[in-house]
Amino acid sequence: MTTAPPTERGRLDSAAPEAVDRLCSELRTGLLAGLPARERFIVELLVREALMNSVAHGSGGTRRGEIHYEIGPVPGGMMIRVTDDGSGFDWRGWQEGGYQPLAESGRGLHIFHLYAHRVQFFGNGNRVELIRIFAKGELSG
Amino acid sequence: MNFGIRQEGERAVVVPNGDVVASGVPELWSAMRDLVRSGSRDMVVDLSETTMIDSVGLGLLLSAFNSLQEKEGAFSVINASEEILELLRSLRMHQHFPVAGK
Repeated sequence: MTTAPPTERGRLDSAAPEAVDRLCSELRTGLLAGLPARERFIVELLVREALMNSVAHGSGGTRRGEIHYEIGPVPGGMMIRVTDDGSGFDWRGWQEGGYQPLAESGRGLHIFHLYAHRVQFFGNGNRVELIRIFAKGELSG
Repeated sequence: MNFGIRQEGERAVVVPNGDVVASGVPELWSAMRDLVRSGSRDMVVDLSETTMIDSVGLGLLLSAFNSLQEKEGAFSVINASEEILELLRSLRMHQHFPVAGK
């Protein structure tokens, strides 16, 4: 029986895409290292989208906002929780059938629903919680 | 971000040397837009060195495709990993431009 890796909690060192890269680089060699390639890709992508959502909407591009994250195993999968101190965004306006392949934006929310088995926004949209359940036959958390 | 551009006859092949994600997209887009402005009408993005692409990177591919389509040019993606190929297909991008795996 293997022991589940510990949950990663922390605060991005800046509300900038480069900080997202630094965290994802750490996750690749740490929390996600033991996952099969497909699940590693999917979880990292969900982490990136959740964090970039906060970078874009939480700090308004100022790089000064606070973004907190929690990423860790749940039975059969992985949980990602990201909270920022920004004004949020209109997550209620998203509609699954409204996806436009040729639109150059709005793809992040579609990716949430494509790969996460549970997508929950809280409050004004400045907290998101995603649960990815690993595909059958993949490692469990 | 680091990337290479090689010319194969009329075709410009853009090779990102790493992940196509938000931090590096502005620089890459600037170079790709310059290619289109300078007359390139056949562009290929070679993802052989790329293990991750995010929604901003996907937007870059769409921007390049849209720009070339306006000029009646051609755009395609080659050497995508299995994971990136699955993502591109799930997002139905392969219905608009050719996408090939490794």
